[in-house]
Amino acid sequence: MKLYAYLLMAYLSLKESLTYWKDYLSFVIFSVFRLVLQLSAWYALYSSVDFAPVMGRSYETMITYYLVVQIVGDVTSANGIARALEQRMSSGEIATDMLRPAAPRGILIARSWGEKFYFFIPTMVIFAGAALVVGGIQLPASPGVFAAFVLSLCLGYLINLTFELVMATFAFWFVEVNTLRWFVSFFTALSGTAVPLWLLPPWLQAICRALPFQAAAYVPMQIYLGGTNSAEILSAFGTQVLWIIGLFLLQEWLWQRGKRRIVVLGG
Amino acid sequence: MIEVENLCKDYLVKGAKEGVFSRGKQKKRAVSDISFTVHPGELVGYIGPNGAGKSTTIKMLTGILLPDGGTVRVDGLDPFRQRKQNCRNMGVLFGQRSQLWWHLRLDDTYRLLKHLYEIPDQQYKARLSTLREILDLDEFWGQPVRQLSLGQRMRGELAAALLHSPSYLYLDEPTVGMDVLVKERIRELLGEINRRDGVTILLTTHDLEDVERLCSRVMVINHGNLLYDGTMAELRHRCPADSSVSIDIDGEAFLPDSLRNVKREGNRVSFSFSRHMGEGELLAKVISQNHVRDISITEPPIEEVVRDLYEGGEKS
Amino acid sequence: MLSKYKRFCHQIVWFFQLCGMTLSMCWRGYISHKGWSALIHGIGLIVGYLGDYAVLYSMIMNFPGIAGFTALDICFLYSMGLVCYALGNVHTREFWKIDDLVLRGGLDLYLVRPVSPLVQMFVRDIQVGYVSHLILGLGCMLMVKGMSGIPWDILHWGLFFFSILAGCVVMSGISLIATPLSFWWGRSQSVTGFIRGGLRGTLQYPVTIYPKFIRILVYIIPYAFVAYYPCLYLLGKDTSPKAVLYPLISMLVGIAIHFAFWVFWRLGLKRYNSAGG
Repeated sequence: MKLYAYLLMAYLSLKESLTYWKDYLSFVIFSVFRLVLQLSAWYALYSSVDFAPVMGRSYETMITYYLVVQIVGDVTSANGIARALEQRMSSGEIATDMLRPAAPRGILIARSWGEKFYFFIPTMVIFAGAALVVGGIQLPASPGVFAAFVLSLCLGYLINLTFELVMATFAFWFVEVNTLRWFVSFFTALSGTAVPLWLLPPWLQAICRALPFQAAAYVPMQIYLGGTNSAEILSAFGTQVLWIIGLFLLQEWLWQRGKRRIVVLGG
Repeated sequence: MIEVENLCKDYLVKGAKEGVFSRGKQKKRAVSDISFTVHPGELVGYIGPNGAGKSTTIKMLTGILLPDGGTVRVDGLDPFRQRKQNCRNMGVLFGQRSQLWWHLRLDDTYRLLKHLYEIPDQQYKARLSTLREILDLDEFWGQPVRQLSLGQRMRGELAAALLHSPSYLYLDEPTVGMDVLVKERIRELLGEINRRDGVTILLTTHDLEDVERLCSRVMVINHGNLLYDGTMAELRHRCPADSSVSIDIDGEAFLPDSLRNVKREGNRVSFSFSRHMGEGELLAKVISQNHVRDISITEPPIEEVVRDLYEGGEKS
Repeated sequence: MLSKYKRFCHQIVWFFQLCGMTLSMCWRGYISHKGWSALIHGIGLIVGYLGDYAVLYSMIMNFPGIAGFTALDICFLYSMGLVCYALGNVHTREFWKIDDLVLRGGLDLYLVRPVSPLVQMFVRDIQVGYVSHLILGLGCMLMVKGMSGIPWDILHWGLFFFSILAGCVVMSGISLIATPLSFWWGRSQSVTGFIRGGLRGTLQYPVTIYPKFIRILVYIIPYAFVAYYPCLYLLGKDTSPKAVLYPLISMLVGIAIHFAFWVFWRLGLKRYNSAGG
């Protein structure tokens, strides 16, 4: 019953977004251009080495990586939840939210699902279309690998979601989410969505591997591209789960303390 | 002097949505053949329900909109074609839109306006101290605008509109969203500005009380037509709509049979009442025959006045 | 004749006083609104953009270059784009809200003053937060200049500053050009947003890497004239005398697009005056 309510909220938020179909169209065109610009850059880069492999990866692998990681990025992204939560806190709406049967964080997550779906469909279509046009896209080696990829994708979403909630609760005490996001975006830029980690200098790679962001984007991509055995896949899952648990606990702890603060402040 | 002759304005209205791409367009007459004259020093209320054409008229008087027909002259100037010249002699206040800088103190906005209107230093100082006194701005002078209450902010807005000593002041819904006490204060201030400086004020509102307390003259507009132009008392007098009276009575109630729409709830009796039908004596009778603890008379709402006026206009 | 000249000079002085006034107001408003977190936000912006540099640099570092541009050159182009984007949009923010101004009557407040609404809007919402972009972009350009080892003579320095100026003018024109659409459509955010940001990604790479339709597009919406052409001489990619003139051409393009905007705006305002919001 409760799940149904959340699904309904997601659906309503999707429908709400669709009323602005001009903005939607412009988003689609934006995505197409972003894609064309980035592909041109990769093409030009690889043509400077006559399409020889760079760091052991061929041009086809690179293009596959780029196209698939965009979808990965969209699926796993949880952006916007922190900002929405912050707004509800500063306007005091959070106090009334807490009186409702549905959890305040649950409502915002459900709403973000509606929007996610809305942006996901065109991205999917555009990138699948691009894959057909460009050609030579590598598919996962086996259905098993694909299943592992999908699973790690879901875990990736949970990492981003829990991190987003940490950011939101962080905003109880410290800087605005918007400011915080700029700081964090230094690292999210290096999560693998903009450029694969294998192209980074080793010291930067080491930093990235110590952070949760690559576990949300780069790890699923590694599984997709293959070359990982089942033990490595399992350990990748393990890392992802550890990140989720850690971030979740941190988030829960901050949230409980923050909630007390709301009560003290009187909403 | 504001002279308006046969003023007309059409709007293109988007029709109902017929599909994603096609929308029907309709022409709607927002202001239709209005003529009036406002003399210097008058305080005129311009009333009508939402969408009646009040704001459109104000926009034509201030030079924002170009009339589709007829002429407007303010001190002989065409507000649209001689916009900048006309602007120097008028102040405008939109109740829904703030001209103050949200995060700054009032005097920041004022100094900017001084520069925009190129007010000389001496004149600016003198004017500002007068306005601070009249509008009582000192109590929140040092605070950023975002911390002001609605009433305080409106006083700040008034000062901003009057800083360059205009002879004409146009107010679009100045009291919208205010509580009763604050409304009253703003009304007093407007009256004082009108008396002290002789500023000609034209204000639109749909709060009949604004007009009743403040304006020597009222114009009623509906569906773009000017239905009435005269004093408030006269308007009330002409309006056949009922007021409703409610009385708290101690003990048993003695009520004449000719009272209309009588309702009783415990000690409270309410009934309809109209000056028009010579019911004043009836009311006096009720009051003298009963032990009245409390009485309240609610005037008919503005929509009703306008509707009656409008229907009356159609009949004649 | 002389009095006309005097009047003109007076107006120029008046305008600069106005700019100074609103700049100070916007700055104080920003600080009063954000307090100390304004500073933290500014640092955050720099850190965030550094991430972009890291991505860009490490991506290209593994290759000999992109269309003859090294990783450092690309960082220079990117910085040029960043600086021009920031400086060129210092005064355009009020126009980004044009939908709301037209639909909800905010424009009326500009029309009841004895000064052109364009002038008022330019100075209404000056972006002081772009200081971060400026510090980062300029700093990075000077760093690249030092690392690349091309000695700069007075011509280079002159071209450098003129290029920034020209790039800002073009960028400002790009941000403004489509905004009068709101007078006809009401909501035009989707189109203006695209023109303003959709091709921003082209600023950092040489235009020669793009397919033909994009190359044509960056001439129509003249992104190519913001960073690429003005930087050709500075980066030593084209040392022919005609390359020295590219910044000048950029400037002319920038002026032309502003003129087109001005005409378009006048038409839009005329429509607004006759139709209302």
